[in-house]
Amino acid sequence: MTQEPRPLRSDGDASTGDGAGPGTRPKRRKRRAALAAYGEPMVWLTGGALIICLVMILGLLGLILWQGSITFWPHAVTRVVTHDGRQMMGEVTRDEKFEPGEDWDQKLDDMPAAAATEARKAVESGSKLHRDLIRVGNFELTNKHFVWIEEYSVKEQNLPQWAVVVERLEWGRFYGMPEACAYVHPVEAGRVAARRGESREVCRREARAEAEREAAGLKLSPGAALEYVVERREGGENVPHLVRPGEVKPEDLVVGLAETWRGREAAWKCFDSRHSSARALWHKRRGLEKVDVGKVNAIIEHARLSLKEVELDEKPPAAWLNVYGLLKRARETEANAVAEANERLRLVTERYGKGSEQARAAARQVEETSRTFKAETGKFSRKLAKVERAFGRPSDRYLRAQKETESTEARARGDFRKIMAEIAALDGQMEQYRLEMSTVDGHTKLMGLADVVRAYPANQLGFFGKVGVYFSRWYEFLLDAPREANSEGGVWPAIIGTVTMTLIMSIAVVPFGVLAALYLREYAKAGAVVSTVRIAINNLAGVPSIVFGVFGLGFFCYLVGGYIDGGPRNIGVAPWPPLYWWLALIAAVIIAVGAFFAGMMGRTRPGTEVTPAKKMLRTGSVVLWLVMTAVALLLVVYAPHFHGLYRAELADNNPTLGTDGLLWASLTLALLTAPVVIVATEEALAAVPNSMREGSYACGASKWQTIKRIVLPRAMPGIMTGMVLAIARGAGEVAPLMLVGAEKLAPALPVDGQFPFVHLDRTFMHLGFHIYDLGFQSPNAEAAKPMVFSTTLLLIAIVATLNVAAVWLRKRLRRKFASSQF
Amino acid sequence: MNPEQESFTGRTRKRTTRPVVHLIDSLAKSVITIGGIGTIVAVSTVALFLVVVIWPLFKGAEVSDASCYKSPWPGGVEPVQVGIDEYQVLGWALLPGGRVITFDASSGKVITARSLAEKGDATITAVSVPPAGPEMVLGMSDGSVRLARLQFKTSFMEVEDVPEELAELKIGEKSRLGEGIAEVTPLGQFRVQKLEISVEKPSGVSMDSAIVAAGHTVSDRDVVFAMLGKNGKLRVVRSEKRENMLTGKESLVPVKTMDLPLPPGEGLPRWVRVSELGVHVFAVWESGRALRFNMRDVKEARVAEELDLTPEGDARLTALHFMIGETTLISGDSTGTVRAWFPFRNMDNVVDGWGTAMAHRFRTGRKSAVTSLASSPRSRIFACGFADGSTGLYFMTSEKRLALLDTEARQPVVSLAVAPKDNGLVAASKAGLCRYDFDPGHPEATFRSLFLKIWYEGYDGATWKWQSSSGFKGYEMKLSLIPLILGTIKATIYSLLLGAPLALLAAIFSSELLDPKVRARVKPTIELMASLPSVVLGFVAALVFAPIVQHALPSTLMAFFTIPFAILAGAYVWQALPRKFTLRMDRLRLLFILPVIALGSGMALLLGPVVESVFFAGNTLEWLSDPAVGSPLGAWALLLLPLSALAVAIVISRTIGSWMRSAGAGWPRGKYALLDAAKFLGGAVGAVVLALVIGSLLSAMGFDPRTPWALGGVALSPIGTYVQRNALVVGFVMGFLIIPIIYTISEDALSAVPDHLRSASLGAGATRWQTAVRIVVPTAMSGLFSALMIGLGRAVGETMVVLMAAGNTPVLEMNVFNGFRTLSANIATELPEAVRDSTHYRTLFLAALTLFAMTFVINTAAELVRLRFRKKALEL
Repeated sequence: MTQEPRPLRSDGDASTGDGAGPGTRPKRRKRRAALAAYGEPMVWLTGGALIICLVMILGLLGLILWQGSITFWPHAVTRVVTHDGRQMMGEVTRDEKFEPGEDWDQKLDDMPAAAATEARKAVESGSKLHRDLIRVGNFELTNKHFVWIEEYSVKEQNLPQWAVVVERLEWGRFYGMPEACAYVHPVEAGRVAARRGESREVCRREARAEAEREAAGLKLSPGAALEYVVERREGGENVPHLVRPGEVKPEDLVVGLAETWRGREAAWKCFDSRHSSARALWHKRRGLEKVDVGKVNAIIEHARLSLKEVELDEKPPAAWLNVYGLLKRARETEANAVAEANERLRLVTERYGKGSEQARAAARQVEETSRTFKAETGKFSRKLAKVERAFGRPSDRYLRAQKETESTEARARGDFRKIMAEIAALDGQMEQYRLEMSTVDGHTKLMGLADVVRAYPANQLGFFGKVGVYFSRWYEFLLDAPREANSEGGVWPAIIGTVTMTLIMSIAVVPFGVLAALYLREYAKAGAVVSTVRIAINNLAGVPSIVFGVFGLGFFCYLVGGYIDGGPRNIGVAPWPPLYWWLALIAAVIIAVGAFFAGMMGRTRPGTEVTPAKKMLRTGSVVLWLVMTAVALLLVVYAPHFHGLYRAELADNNPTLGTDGLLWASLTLALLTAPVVIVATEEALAAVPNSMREGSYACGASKWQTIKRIVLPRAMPGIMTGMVLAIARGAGEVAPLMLVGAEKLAPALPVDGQFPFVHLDRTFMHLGFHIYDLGFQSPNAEAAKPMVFSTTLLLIAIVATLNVAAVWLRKRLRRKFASSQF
Repeated sequence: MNPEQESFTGRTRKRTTRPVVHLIDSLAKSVITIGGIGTIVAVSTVALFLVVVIWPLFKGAEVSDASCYKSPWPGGVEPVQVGIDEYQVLGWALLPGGRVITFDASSGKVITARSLAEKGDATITAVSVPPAGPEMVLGMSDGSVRLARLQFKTSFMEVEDVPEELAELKIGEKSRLGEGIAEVTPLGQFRVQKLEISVEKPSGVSMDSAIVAAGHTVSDRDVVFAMLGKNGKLRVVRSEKRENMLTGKESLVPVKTMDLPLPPGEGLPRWVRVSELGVHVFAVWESGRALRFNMRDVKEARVAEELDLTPEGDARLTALHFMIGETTLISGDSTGTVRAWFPFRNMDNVVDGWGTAMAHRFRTGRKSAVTSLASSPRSRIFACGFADGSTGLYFMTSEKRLALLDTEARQPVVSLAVAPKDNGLVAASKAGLCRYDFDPGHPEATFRSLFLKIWYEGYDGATWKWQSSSGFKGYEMKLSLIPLILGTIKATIYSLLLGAPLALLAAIFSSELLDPKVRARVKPTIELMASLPSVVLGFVAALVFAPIVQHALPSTLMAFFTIPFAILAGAYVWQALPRKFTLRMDRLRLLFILPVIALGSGMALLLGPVVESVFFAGNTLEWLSDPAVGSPLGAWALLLLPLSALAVAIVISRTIGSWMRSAGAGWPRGKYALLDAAKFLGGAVGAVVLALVIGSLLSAMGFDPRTPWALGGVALSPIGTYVQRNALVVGFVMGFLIIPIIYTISEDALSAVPDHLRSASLGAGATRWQTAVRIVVPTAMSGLFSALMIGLGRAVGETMVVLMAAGNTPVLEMNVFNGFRTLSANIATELPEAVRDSTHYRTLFLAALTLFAMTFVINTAAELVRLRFRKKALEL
């Protein structure tokens, strides 16, 4: 197989012949038209094709590598003043050249004179016009994430020293200058008064009085000034502002006293030192929200489902359930309303004293509320009684279960309230850290430090500062959850989803793939059937992945999942009557026993002759086994006593396994990659020389011993290669996942700390699907685009790592063979 | 083994195998056998399961329950019209005298009876029944008209209002309650079903003689009446719905009355029908003769078209009815034939630009006369009653017969009604009433509707169309797979056109001409392409390449010519270089090709704008979309250039080439090389000139590639309007997917050609190029072919790239600048939204099976060829 391109004799001949001229060696045979025979143009064409292929692949990889890695590099923040007086600040993301359009003259007329002059100059110089796309952020103020700025309309452009980029949890980025940093002591008086039902005027007055009282007693930190935090109505919303004590307007509601550090540098220093503690509070809150609340919800959900289970058994009248639900809701409303009224009474009494006019009014209101809602509840109770008369009461077992569930729910609600109180306390603490920023167009914005993911003064960063921001963004990208419709934050859930799915897929595909290959290569008798099967399997490797997705959706999700969820009826199969089913079961057992004995009797000792009777017994045994398998399958499908494992969820119209999810996605991909594993394993097995098997048999080893000790170890690197290749294919496949479980934003990770830890029924996020979603479904496509490149880079890195592993294994395999040949 | 047995060494074996080893051995055998066979079976169930899901598509309707009972009306009376509510508990019948009776649909017991005509009123002489909606028009003997509403009303009763005698009702049970029927729903609610009747006498709508036929149509704003008087007058009145500001009551105000001319001396038409919004009015005689009047924007009513609704034989028309949407008329005749007709845009008709086409003809399965027709109020199902007492159920668009129902009483079926949920049917005859429960199955999908051209309502001809969902009422699914299959083929062709030559040439080079050390690096690099997830390629195609290609379209197109030109030119320069140099640099040839390709790309960039301004009117995109802009010369030249280059190459090699080969034998190498280069340059110029000449000839003759040459509804022209996500972009990126596959397999095939063949060839004095082309490639031909086939299979099934970069419009065009929708992308976009087990869902499974079959056939062919090649290679 070596193709060392040794210089061919004819080559040498031709060269000397041509180069030195025919005269010097007259004895040589003259060659004719040697040049045409070399086919140089065609050689160049083929070489060109190869080069184009290489350039294509390397160019593509280079593009993704470059684009993917520059995504997170922080850019300078530019401030632009246009000729028509607009000011904006942001990062230049890209630029392009463009042609003046058809309505160019109209546009020129609409432009300010200076801009028009510039524009005319640009057009007359013959070059195309140029414009920059600036990411201006501040979406809640400007309603834009990006702005195109034509070069000719720019009047002034500079890099402000104190331009700060703020990455926030909501609304995307903010570009502005730090004005003040504040530590806030809350003033609750206004809110308390509001709860008491006072007019807005009174609330404001009380809040202000309270603030002034507290301000008098407040000891300021060194270097800090005293300011008020007020809420001001702006555009229909209460917007917080930081104002000096003298500047509080009458219509402002004072909500806090702030120790402030004004001035860019001081504010920034204060922000820098406090940001991490505010974020720590935020992380704690998120932990409470995700883990603790999740636990309580799981308890409530479990209680509800177990009640539903009983409901399905006992079948209480639907009308009763309906009315009971209404009654329950009415009772809850009543309890809430009365509690609220009582709270108000308490506040009013506290403020105005017992026996005051206001307190009496509040007490009257409590009674009133209680009466109104009692009447409402009573209506439903009477209705329930009527329904009970018409349709009967639910069974006692159901009522008991219901009571139990309700008490569990009540207990869980208590826990829930505790957690919520804790969260509220954290919220209060987080609100103490505030930062005031101003934008170039004159707005100020007071933001909570906890809502700031990251902020940096972009134009002051040195190289190492930029590197720091760069890596901190990568860290967030790899290990955090996505935000803002996936266009910011990280891809941690997608990584987890991809890895979990790939792992489950490998667990499913590798043993079965190896078994099938072992059977085909070691046990099955070579013949037409086996080679047909081999061709078919080879073919399946070429069947489009989307077809497997369709199969997965129809077969796994709807059929198998539907069966597990709700038994045969759920997949549209009428189960057999119990008697028939039990008879069939007995028949199956008898057939199985018969098959077993026939098989045993048909066995021959090695070396003895196979009589026709024994041969018949063997065939019969195989046939019986096949019949048994078919009957067993029917028994499963038509089982009358199986009502599904998740029928309570199903009754809620919320199928568990009967819909797309992790398990079915993994199995679908396992099916998709099975042919790859089988083919690779078979090839590895075939590569083990027969002499080794024969040697093993000659030493007296049994077939399985030979396979286990001789064949498998030799073939192992090859099997591993196939496995890794299959996994790489599975990890990069997206089309079937679109049908069987990948989601743009899965509500929960498929792996977490709650039993059973791996949630096979959940949908999950996947890196490949994430790319598709970001690139094509994102509402803020321009902001998402860099993220797509980074995600792509990540996916390619994973897949390429797997492939490189395969190549490395292949090399090892070859080396091993070189030494182990007999 | 028998220990007594003698071995040839003279020693007997003493040790026996432990039973455990036997046990494990047989256990392993059974586990591996069962597991292996199980896995193989599981993998191959894929196709089987798809077939199982698709199967119900081709079954007819299933009639689950049929019950016939004595008619609730007096024996011998033929009801004019019957109806049934959506829960199939209550039915009504309009009797000839104007009485409406309601009856229990499960037993046929009469519940109420009421007359539509008031006391002393004239009698009803004509009735017009719409395909959907509650309004009926009654023509009276005194020439006046009544608008009757027979509307089912569903109400739910509070538990406390339920009368004592119904309190015992269990879930699912029904009972009569006053004028209606009460049923307990599964949620324990009491649902009461009643028929509400109101009769209105619209003002200004009347004739001066008895009305013998009537037609009407109702829209949100108006009602259009058409009346035929006994005196032969045909009058059309449009009445607008006006709401009284004070009372809030709606009343009808006539806004336009028009008398239509009927030809004299033909007797009176039997039917008058008004199409949706009152656009067309049909007057139809029993002989099958029909007149169509166009009422839109016409000052004077004229006969717009004259038709024969019984075009074959001398059959008489016996029934006429509108389908839902009131656009399609179905007609039944005395021979049992049913046809469907609808107006379409037809410029041949000079009167109003419309024509009426017979779009469908049904094989009803019965030879006796059609006595009644009824259409479903929600789909294009219609029922047809015959004189022999049987009833047929059909679907209009696909012409599928869903069911044929026979009754024992062989009385003509005089009236029919399809239940509002398409799950039941009432058929009335003189003898009695039959009610059928049925499941219509999947009537929209038949072989015809999936693969053949169908003339859909509102289109001006039969066509293949995929349109699985839409918003408006009365909409029909268009489920032709042909546009999707065509899209798949388009994607495959364009990606193979680009990928296959590159991959094959690259394989030949790297197997035959490349230094093995370099090859060891190059091959894995190209194979690395195969492992790129296709979603990455799709994203790059759509978001990176598509804008670039659109931005620099002329340059991109020029690159297809300049790069090969540059490479060839480089080869001729290389030939002309001193032999000493080229021989030494032989291994580095690839490195020299690289700048040449860069040079070619640079040429494309420079030439692009020039070509654009010279040939494409300065703006290629505009030039492509509008045939009025510029001349087609440039496109012809570009399209013809490959062909003319081929022609010129053949001519040159036959003439100058063969002369040079014989005459140039004694020439010095340098001279030969220079002449060769001159020949190439001359040929290149000649090819361009030839392409331009033929192109200008063709454009002078008026041919323009931008106007599509349709063949059977498929636009074959390879160029046309430019869309950003198009076949060119997809072809380019899909090349990434198929190049590594084709490359790897063909490289393997070439390498598998035994070395002794090469040695023999080289030993006989052939150059390496001659050996490669004349010995290695022919030997490996079947391997190369199978490589191509496998690449093809991959391109057919690729999903993500086409999903993201092909625009996903199901068009019937081969235009390389337009998008398309493939089977795979269609499945990926529509299956997540398809309702489980619906027709749409099953049709998408059929699309998957089609895809499966396509790739399976291609791959099997490739595999068989490959196996043959392997055997041949081993034999050599």
